[in-house]
Amino acid sequence: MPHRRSRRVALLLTLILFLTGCWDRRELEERSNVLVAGVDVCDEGEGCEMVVTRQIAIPGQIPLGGERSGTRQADTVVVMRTPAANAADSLARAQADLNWKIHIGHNRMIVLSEAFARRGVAQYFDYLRRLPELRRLLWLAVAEGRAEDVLKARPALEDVPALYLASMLDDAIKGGRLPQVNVGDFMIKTSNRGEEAVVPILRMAGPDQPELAGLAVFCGSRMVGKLTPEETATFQELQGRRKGGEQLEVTLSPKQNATVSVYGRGAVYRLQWVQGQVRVQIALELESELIRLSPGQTGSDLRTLELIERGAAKMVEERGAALIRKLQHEFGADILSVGERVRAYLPGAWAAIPDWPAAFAGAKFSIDAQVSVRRTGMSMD
Amino acid sequence: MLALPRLIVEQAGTGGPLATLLGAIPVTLAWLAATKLSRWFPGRSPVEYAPKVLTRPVGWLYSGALLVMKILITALAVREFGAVVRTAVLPSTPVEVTIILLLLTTAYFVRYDQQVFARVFEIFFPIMLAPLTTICLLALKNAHAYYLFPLLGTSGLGLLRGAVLATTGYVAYMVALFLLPSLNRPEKAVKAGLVGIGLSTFVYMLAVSATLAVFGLEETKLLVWPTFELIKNTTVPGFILERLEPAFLGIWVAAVFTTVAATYYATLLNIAQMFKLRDHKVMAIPLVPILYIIAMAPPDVHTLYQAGITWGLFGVTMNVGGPVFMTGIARLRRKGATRSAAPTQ
Repeated sequence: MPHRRSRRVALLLTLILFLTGCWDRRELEERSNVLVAGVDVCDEGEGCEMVVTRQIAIPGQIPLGGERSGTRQADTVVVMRTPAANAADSLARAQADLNWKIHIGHNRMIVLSEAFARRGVAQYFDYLRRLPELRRLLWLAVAEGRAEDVLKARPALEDVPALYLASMLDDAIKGGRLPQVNVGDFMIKTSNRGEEAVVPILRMAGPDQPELAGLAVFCGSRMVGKLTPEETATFQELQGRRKGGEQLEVTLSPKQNATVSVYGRGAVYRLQWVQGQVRVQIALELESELIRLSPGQTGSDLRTLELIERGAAKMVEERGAALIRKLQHEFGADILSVGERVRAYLPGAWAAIPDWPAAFAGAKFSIDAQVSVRRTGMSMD
Repeated sequence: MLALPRLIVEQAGTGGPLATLLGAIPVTLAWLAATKLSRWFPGRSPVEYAPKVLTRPVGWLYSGALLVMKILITALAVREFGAVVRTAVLPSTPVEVTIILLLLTTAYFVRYDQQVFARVFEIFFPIMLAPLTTICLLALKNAHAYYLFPLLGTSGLGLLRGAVLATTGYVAYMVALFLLPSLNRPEKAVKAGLVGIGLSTFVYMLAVSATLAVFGLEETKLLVWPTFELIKNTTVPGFILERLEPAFLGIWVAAVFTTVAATYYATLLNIAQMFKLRDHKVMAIPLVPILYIIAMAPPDVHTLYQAGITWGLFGVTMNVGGPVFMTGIARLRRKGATRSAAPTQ
């Protein structure tokens, strides 16, 4: 018996050897963690295809738990610029300049410059798609101007610039001001045949002051145009993104006007296939509250509210129609996923349509909006 | 489990969820047939009654085919595990190491008898089912209803192909056939089996529907392991865990372990009964190198899934076609215990 027992103990002790770690053990400090990556086209005479700029965290300098220990911001990250032939090449070149292995698992955001986006991002996204450590929930933005400048910005409000950019997008999406756009969504929309992708635009308002400036519209994997912040709000309305975020300025009479704040939205699409043409009826419902009313008639009695509602509805319809015209004729990009709806609910029509972008441009839209003003704030007037 | 949504959607398009449901029908029929057979031959497994029903040589051939299929399915499941771990989790750990460790753990486990086996599965069952269901439901936050339509897909033939592929997802039910003879209360087998098939249909349909609803038709086809990508695309509200993959992978290792253990165990019983061995244990270790060689045979991921589909279909023919065919033959040849007699116990 003792013999057997000692054999068992020996076996167990041997097994402990297997617990010491494995091939992939790597301490957090032994990694070069990329926080944001920016992609630009090359400057003239640089002799490369793309420039990738990386914001890399300095180990131990990222404050944990919001405590500001007086570390100067400039010390939390370094920004590295790597000209390269393609994405894979850029990673290899950047690695040559760094002591630890580059890790992109903690990447928060990818910023594409407008010039790069307009040239087409198919090749770059093929590379991203194959990376197992890439997060699909990574934020994606297009920089008006150079992506490098966005990465170099040091917003004063946050120690880690990457977190400032990420929370800026995150909060705008939560508040309904921007559509949900991350790398995963972009991949989905560029893969599926009946829809196109949009990506938020970042613009540098000052050297350290990035701001949100509408949406970049893609057709396939190529950027084809821009939506202003106002058009972005309209786009959100047309999509029926439940959470609202925009304000509507309604003119009631030459003398009187009002502002309502939209907090809820809904959209229902009705599709018909009539004589080789797709007809789309969009019924929009907006919930809002009155936040400003210029003096004039006595306040918010039912008639005034009704006037505001009707005026706002008309405005939403007109803005919506204008945006759709722009999408159909200027961009030729179905960012409203109408095509996916046709594929889903009119499979016969979808099979008969050889080329969706052309059919989208020829489709007939009608919008019917209904705006309800539910509250008038703290004032009865 | 990880690749199934892609394989089905490639064939059936948006009819994927429906194909998954249709795929359960042949398995249900086979289960009804198999339980009937086991009532006609109480206390005997398919390998033991096949020679009686189909004559000796054909029965032996059939048992041999069952054995080959089990070995292949076990080996391919092990290899898929290795491929996922290598690609997505531990990029510098050699596949060989992952595979050998999994095989050795399983070989150790399957040497125990059926009671231990059943209890381990009982423990694992809720640990796997609950998180998987939760993850699929959480993922629906990013879903679009229109990605799921048209429900029938666009081609009837594609739907049918998808259904046949989905059936391969259920082949592990064959393990239950080998456990039938040792049930305490065989009369409950039919119901228990149907509940089991129902549950796995539910889980598969949930996974296929969630994948399709989140990614849409074309994107799903591009993902090697859509279920895994689904998890990467999901966050828990409140950001307690920003990334779910590590948690999921833990569960998934358990899932692979139970699958491999189940088919491994059935393989051992198959061998023991074919060659009239007294004990199934003896073959547990000798089988490891054989499984290892087969697992390492496919040179790349594409070949692996091609082989998986081919042998999966072979498995379906044997496991689903077999019992149904045998019930017919047994009835014609009037083999087995008298049907009016009470179950012998």
